[in-house]
Amino acid sequence: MKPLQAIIGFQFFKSIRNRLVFYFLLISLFSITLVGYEAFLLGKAVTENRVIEQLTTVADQKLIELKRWLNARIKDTKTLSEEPEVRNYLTLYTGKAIKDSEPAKKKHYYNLLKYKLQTVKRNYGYKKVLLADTDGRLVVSSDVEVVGKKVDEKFISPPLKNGEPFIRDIYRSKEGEFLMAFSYPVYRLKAETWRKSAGISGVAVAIINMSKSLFLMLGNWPGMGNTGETLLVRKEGENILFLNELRHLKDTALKLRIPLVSGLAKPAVFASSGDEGMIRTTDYRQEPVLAAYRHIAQAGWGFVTKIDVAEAFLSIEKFKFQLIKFTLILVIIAIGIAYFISRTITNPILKLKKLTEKLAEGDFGASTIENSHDEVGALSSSFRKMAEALEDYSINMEEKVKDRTRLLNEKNIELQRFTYTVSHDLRSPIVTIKGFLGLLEKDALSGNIEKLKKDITYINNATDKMENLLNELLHLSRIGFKTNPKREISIEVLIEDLLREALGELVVNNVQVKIAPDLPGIYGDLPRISELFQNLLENANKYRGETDNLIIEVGCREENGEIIFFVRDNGIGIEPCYHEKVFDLFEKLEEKSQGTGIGLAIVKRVVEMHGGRIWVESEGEGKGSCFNFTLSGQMH
Amino acid sequence: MKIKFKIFFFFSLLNFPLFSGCENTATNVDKKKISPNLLEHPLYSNYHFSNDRRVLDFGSQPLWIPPCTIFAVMQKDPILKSELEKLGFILKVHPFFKGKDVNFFLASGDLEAGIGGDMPAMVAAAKTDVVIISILQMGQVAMVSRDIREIAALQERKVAVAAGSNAHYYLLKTLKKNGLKISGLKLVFMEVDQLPAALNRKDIDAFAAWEPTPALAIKNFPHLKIFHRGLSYGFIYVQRKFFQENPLVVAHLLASQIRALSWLREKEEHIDLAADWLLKTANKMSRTDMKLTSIDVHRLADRDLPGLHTITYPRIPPALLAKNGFLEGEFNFLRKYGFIPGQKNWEKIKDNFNLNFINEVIAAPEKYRLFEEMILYNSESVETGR
Repeated sequence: MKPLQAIIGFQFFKSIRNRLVFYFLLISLFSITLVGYEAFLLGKAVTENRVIEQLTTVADQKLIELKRWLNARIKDTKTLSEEPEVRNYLTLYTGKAIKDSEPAKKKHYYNLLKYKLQTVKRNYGYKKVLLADTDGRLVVSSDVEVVGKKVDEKFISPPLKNGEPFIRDIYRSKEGEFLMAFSYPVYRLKAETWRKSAGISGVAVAIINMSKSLFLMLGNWPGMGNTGETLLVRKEGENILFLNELRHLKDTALKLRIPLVSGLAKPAVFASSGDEGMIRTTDYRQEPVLAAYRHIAQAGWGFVTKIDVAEAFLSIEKFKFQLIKFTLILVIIAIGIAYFISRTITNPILKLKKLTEKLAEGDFGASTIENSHDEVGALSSSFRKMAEALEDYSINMEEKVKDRTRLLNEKNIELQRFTYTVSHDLRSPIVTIKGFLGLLEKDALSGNIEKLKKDITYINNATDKMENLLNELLHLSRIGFKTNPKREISIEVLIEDLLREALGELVVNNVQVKIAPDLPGIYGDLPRISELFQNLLENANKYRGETDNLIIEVGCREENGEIIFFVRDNGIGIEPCYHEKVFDLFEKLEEKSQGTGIGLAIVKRVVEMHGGRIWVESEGEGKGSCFNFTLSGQMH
Repeated sequence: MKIKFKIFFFFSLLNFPLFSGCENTATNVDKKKISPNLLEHPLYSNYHFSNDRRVLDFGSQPLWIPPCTIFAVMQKDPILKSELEKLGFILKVHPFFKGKDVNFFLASGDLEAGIGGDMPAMVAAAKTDVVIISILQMGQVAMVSRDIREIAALQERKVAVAAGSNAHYYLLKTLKKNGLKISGLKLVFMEVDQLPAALNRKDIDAFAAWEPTPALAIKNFPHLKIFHRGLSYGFIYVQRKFFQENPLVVAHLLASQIRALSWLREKEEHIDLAADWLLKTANKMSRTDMKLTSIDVHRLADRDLPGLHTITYPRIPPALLAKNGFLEGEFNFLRKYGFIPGQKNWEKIKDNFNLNFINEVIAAPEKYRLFEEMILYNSESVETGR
């Protein structure tokens, strides 16, 4: 099975919009089809039930009417034959009580009987009503007929033989009429009794025209439409004989015969054999029909009401068509909605895409996009911020690059200088060592122990110096890498601790350290800040010059909203030309001074680590110095 | 629950056209009561069958509605009583629940005559030598369902019948006619009394049964519908020996049936009256209210009783015995399923139907007082077996 994407096309699915439309349509179609199909099945079942109920009701109703009609006909003849006057007149007329010599009397009874028969014919709609004697000869008829002629034996034989009523099933007369006859024996009327045991004196026969009575009644029912019809059949040998005229086939009454085993006209076959029910089958035209069939035991008839399936379920077809139409409309609406929804989703995305392209081209001005409050709006808002940030970043980038380049250059220079300085300053003790090693050899060979000892001392001093240098350098290099958690630091407490623990020399030398009151605390790396102040204070002490009254002031001031700390002394001061240089590595204003010349470099590094800057102010030699620094910014 | 219990109880008693030897997998409380040895039956064991040759012990089935409407009238026929008395006979009627039970006591020689549906009549003809003298019913077997409206829709559905009954035969025949096979549906065997409740409970999708079960089902569960009907018949039959020894007694019995039909035909009210009598007997026997009214019985009688409107005499239609006719089909079914011994053949069974005897009665209306007006007794003119 090919994947859907392969069938429809990969390109089609590359678009979110297409995918949205497709899947929305798929879901909509599925739902609409499912609901539509369920509705159709329900509608179909309801309609089918309704049609079947209707047809069944018609069949049952017609069956009742038909039975009533049959019973009424039998009762008509029975009533006629049991009427005392008829029994009496017939007895008198056919008996020997009135002699042939009394024609007037006979005529009187004849007229009375004829009047009776005409009344029945007229009132009950018979074609003809007659009375026959026990010899089967016509006695009197409602119509003009030859008295004494032989009456068809089929009418009168059973009643005369068994005293049973007889129904002659539907037959065609010589004139082509469809008739049915009902015969009933007429019993003699004895003066002393009403009983029938007096014997039969004749037979009453009532003949009815089926086309004007039963067939009319059967041929019409509500809802029969263009194809509905009623069939009356009876079994005749191995065939089914159609008794009434068919709607779709002319001249069929009592002519059309269908073999029982032909498989055709099933409902008619079933009905004539005593079954009753409902069936979907084909009729004598081979048309699919819905038929209700019933059996009339009294007459041995089968009775079928049927209608073409196409007509019966026309409403289902209409409903189906309506449903399909409605489904199509819904699908079109669904496509529209899907397209609209996909547009609302994809349009901002497409706009973002265009914007991205513009941003890629460096156009930061095109950042006005969707202002909706949904997810897309949020995305747009984020995108807008991102674009602004990019714009800012882009604008600052050049400056930053310049700054960083400058810094890098400075670092490079510093590194070069550092390399130079380190190599130069390290060379100094090496040269010393090298020199004294020569002397050491010479003194050793000469056996001058005193000198040898001095040489070794010089060499030791040189190596100590070198070791100091290397330790300081190592320390300096670590400042950038080793950081401690920041904390709040009280400068006053810090300096007091330093004076007590590390700067005992200042105390010994009676250096006055004045700490300004209410110095603000510093939020920073305590060990480094401690180093900063230690170096500055030591530096002041180292370069005190000739003064015995060294005063160091630690304080701060605010300039342009910035806190500037300072460590001021009244020492030897620094010529302005060295103000920058003093912070360089191994720079010492006095060659003879103690120290490695790394102290201020460390100070500078600590200040920079704390995002600050440092500078020195001094009016020159003998004027004292003031080291200013800030400590704002982040630690690196 | 009360109505359901009543229906259950009534149906448990209503099993007439089952046969001896007919197996059924279903069980119920009443089934236990009805021992296979009917001599120990709680009701039948109290019956006093007469050994006197001057007593005609007759097996009736008051729960078989509407055919027994005719017999309800016959039981009140003074002419029958008087004519039998003239012959030194008395008629003693014993009510039974089923045709199968009537056949049992016919076979044991306790009954001389009885009534039964087409299936019991043929089994009696095959197993006990009886003469079938008249038709009692031209009724219908019906299929009932909640939602099925056509035979074709029975496919794959669960359909219940009483095994070996005329409804069983009717179902098979109808399926075949409609081009379906019994294997195409799920056939369930059940006692007829259980069918309506089972259908209502949706345990089954349809059932086939004889009247009054379908009428009662619809009466009690109006959402059920009859969707198909087929013919069924009922007969009066007499032990051949008794028939041969006492033809006049049998003739008067038949004459009474003819008179009863005439009386019922006279007025619509007569049918209602007979229906009332029958229902009283039926309710008494079932010990519960059957929920059928005389109007219901009247309606069933209108449809099922031959001669009530058109045919004067209860002749057995010769067409029933025709080659490949209705009864031969049933005979083959009964033989196939073992209800009739295999060595029996249709020609032999056919001889048990006496079509001419009724003509002898009809030919002598005065002798048999066919046309005499009956003034019925208020109570049965004949003795009942209890």
